[in-house]
Amino acid sequence: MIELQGVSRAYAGDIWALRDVNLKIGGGEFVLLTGPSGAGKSTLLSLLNLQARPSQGRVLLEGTDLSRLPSAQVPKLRRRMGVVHQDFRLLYDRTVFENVAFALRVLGLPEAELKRETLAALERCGLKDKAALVPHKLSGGEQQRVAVARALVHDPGLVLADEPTGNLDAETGWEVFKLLLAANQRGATVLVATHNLAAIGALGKRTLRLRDGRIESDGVPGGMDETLPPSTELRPGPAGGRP
Amino acid sequence: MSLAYFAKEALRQSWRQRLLTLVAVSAMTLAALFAGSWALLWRNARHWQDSVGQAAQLSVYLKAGATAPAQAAAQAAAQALSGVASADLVTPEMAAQSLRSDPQIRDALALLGDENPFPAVLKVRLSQADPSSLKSVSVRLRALDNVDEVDAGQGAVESLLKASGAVRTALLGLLGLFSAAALLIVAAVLRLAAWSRRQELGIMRLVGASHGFIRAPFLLEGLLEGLLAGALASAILAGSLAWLGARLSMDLQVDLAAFLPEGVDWSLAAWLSAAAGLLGLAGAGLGLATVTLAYEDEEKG
Repeated sequence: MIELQGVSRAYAGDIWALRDVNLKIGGGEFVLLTGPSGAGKSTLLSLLNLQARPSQGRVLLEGTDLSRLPSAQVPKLRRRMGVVHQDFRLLYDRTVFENVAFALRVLGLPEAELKRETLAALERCGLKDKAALVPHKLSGGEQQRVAVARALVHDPGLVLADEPTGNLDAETGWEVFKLLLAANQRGATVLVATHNLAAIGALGKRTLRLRDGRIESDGVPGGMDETLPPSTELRPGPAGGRP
Repeated sequence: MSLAYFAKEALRQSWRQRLLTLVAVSAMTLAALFAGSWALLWRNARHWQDSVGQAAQLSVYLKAGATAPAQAAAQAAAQALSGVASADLVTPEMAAQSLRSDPQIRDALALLGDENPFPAVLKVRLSQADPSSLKSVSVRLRALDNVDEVDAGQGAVESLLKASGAVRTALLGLLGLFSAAALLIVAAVLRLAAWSRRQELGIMRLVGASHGFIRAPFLLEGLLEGLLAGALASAILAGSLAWLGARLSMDLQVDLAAFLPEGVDWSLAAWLSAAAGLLGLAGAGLGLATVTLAYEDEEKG
């Protein structure tokens, strides 16, 4: 589904965020990106949602070369994915409902369907009773769940999450991971950039470790549960058992 | 895409940036007020011009030796010219008869005995009153057989018609200037509005909104503000005319309707609102065309 071929990305001409990255991610995979700050995690995600273009190489999404995608096609591509950011990026003068509904509105859904789907997404994310509030009235965890609801409301084939738990406590962060896992179980390919070693260990999913713009390791981590902070409580995933 | 959603967004945006909205609506109201005043003057100037034209009469003096058949032939020829509404013949006898009521002229005529000094005259009225047709008809009348002289009121009518045209042209020029100024103000205001909301627009873009989806509320905002400005200008003009009419009638016993027979009616209000709406739409389009939103640079890589 996703393929990066010799991808490099430079900022300000000579600051390399990614260097010659080659990578394949299959449809329906749940992949974690980790590594120190500045390793290139966010850059990799931004190449996939076309906030940036590669300086060298090709980024393929379902066979489409994103490096050459015309600007007019960018919105169409983004409507097929959901994106979650560390800083939520919500529309703060609109209600929770309107924030989530926006992702459907750009798809041109009829009002009745838009309302039904939005309420369903809010319910899945435990926000139905917050629908009429503006984001400022919510806690950080709730705001992030709004962002997740917006990213998932249209059942995208690809979900990108950039440090979605970075501003959250462990328990709230885990709630966010559960939502992303549920989307993955519904068939979405999910890429999550995270520093959350506890989650990486607990999830047992394919993890790409980046350093200095290069992939340092790629595989499923084992025996990492010892990295969990003492306060972290791991809970069963939505489908039962370990998520 | 739902028009209702865009309208709601446009109204929300207008309300959120009330001060900027006020500036834009004020600028467009001023332009619409000027356009409305110009339209009123135009309509009434045409009316005045028609009145002047109706009063305008060319005197075509026939040669002294012109016989009665020659006079009749000249009248028929004048009548047949395009641009001539009527040509009435005043024979020397009719002129003498008419002027004998004046004692001084009667005495002067008595001194002349049987001799009638008056020439035959054609009183010609024009079907269209403007300087060019006045001149053209005069030239063609002068070329007719047995015509001695054509008097167009020593150029007074022509000058009046020319002045009226010049005033309207000057007003049109000023209208153009005001409209251009309003257009630039609206463009600047909406450009500022788009710039101040660049983060929010970037988020919308990230969620998959197209340029059109992002820009539509701004265009609609310009259109709605223009329509409002047109309606406001119509109301102000109608109110001002009513107030002025009442003051003139009360203080000077002057009937304003005699000078301005055509006031603000629904057609003028609709015309003004539509013109101001288009001005707002054009201003919004210009403003958005010249602003590069933050996300556009990012997407270009």
